[in-house]
Amino acid sequence: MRRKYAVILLFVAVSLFINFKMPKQVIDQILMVTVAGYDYVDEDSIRGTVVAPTYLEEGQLVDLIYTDTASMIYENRNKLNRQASESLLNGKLEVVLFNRELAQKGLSKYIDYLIRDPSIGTQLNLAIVEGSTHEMLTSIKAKKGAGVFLSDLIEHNIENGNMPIVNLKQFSSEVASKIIDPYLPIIKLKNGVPKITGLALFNSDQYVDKLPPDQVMLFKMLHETLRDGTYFLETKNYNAAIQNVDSTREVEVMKKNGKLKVNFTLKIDAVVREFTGKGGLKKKKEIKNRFQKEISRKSVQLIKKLQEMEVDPLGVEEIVKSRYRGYNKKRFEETYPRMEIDVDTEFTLSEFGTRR
Amino acid sequence: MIGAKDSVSSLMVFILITASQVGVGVLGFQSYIIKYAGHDAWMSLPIAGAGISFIIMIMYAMLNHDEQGDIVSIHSFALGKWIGTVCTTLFAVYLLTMAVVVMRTYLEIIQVWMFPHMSLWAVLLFILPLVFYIIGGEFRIVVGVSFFGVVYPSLLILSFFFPLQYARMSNIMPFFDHSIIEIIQSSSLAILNFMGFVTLLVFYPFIQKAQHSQKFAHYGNLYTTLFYTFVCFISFVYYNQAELKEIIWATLGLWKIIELPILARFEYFGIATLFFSILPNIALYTWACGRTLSRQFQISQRKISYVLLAIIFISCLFFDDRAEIGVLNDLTGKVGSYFLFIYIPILFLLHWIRRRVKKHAS
Repeated sequence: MRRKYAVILLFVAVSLFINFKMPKQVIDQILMVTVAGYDYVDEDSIRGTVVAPTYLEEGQLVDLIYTDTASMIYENRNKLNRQASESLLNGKLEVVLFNRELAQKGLSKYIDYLIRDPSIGTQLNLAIVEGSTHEMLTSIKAKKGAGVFLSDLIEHNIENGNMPIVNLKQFSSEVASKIIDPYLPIIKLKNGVPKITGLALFNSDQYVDKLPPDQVMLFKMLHETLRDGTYFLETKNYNAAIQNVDSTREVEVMKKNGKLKVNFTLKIDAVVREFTGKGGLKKKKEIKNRFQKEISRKSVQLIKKLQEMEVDPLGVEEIVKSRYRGYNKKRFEETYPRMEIDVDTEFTLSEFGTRR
Repeated sequence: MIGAKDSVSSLMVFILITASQVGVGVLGFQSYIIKYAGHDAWMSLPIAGAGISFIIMIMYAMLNHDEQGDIVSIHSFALGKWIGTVCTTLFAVYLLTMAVVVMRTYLEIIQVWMFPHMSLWAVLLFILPLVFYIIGGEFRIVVGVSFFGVVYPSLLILSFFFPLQYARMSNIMPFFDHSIIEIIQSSSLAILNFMGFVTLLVFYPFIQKAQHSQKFAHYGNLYTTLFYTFVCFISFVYYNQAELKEIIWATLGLWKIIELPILARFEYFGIATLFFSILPNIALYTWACGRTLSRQFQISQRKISYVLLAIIFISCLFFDDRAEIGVLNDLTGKVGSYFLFIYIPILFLLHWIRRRVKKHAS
């Protein structure tokens, strides 16, 4: 009996000893990359910039920035490691930026490593940069570091603002699906400060066009359930801002005269937060009708625009495919730009703030 | 004979069946069951579960009427001494292969997700003594480990609610877009995940009032079927079909979306917890293999266990890349479904005929 346990103990000891020699990653001897940015250089090379914070004292950090050009992301990482004082690792990656030129060529080969590497989470934020990502990353002077700064910038706009939900999971699965076209937030450096300037629309993995910020809200309402958004209405007599917009969308697919017709219904519940002009509460009904009409009209315009660009980020094809058994991909793609898509709005103005 | 000290209560059949059915398969079965039925393939899991329940029924009908109530005596009774011995040996080889598959797949996952530099043989030296400790003693220890193998990983069910925030129902709509035939074809691929319950043919004599334990076996199977269907459903609404075709371990991918303040990568926690589910799998397979061989050839089970663990050790080192492990997985899956749905019913018929003949003769 005793001999048996001695053998077991020996095995365990050998095992521990051998695996003890496994390459280790001690926190003081690594740099955790928080942001990576990729710029287009020419047909087969990209410029990669990574930012890794290093901590000085309690609460103070300095972003170390490394940049070089290469043809593949890992080749780039290899070159950057030759500059870095400690080895660069991906475990804390929060944001990956691509510049617009690179996005126009197609992003699928650059996001492959993000999906393949098990140490990268799928809640990673992606964004498109107008201009150079290198310039943007070197100009961010935030106390919390570029990585946390950028991911907070994107995330709070998704949670409380008008930006539709987007992260690596959503983007990569939409690229893979071949039926929905993805979108990403687009960021631009303005007076040395990064600012979200709209929504980048993609055809599969290639950047096509950009949606201006005032249409992004509408896009979000048409795209998903909205919890807390804001919307502005400007007329000749008064301006009004509505907030705490709760909206749900419902989509119906109908067949009319042998043609498919898609109908979006938006159910919006909102509170007035700012009102300039006369009348106030008395005009509640009018304001309500105004909003209702305007949202429907602008939504239809937005969808028309998307149809003209032949992109489908709202997932119309996905809805048709899932509801309608006679779906045929080729036929759908031919008819999509001319398809009749309507938007109905059911608007409820539940509160008018604290004034009449 | 098996003493009262070594037998377990019939309720434990539930634990044994469940523990043996949930293993490495749960980490990646989603991507191969879509081969025939596409987005309808999640429906093939309840069908597979129903099929398994039917097989469990046949097994019990056979075991209840056998003198000793295990595969060795069934084989020798139904097939005669020589063919019986050959079949029993093949069955034992199959069990051992399953143990190797489970072990190697789990180690592969550790290599890919956690420690790429891990030395395989050294880790095996760590795990195999543990397996030996479990199977070297009484059967009750195996049951005890199985109990934890069911209880601990069941907490992971909660983690599958996280990915639901990215669920798209349209990924699995419209329902019944594929024919029933295709769904059944897919369910034949899903069977592999449930294979562990064949050890019932070996541990049956260890159960007190074994004849009345059948309902617990069905409950155990029901639990795993529901569990698999749940995981599959979540993955099917989370991934679209194009993604499922590309991904190797869909379940681990589900965990990639979870980010907790204290734990950036939930997979590490998940993979570690799944060890509780892998261990009873390996232990049960190895134990069943050893038990079968020791019954057949009248050698002490402890001595056989040494040899079996050595074989597992060597074969795990022998398969060293994804493609080979994949081939091994496919092969055991195919053999397994033939074994269950063709061999077991035939064996049942032969056993039944022999019983009839013997009854008439006496």
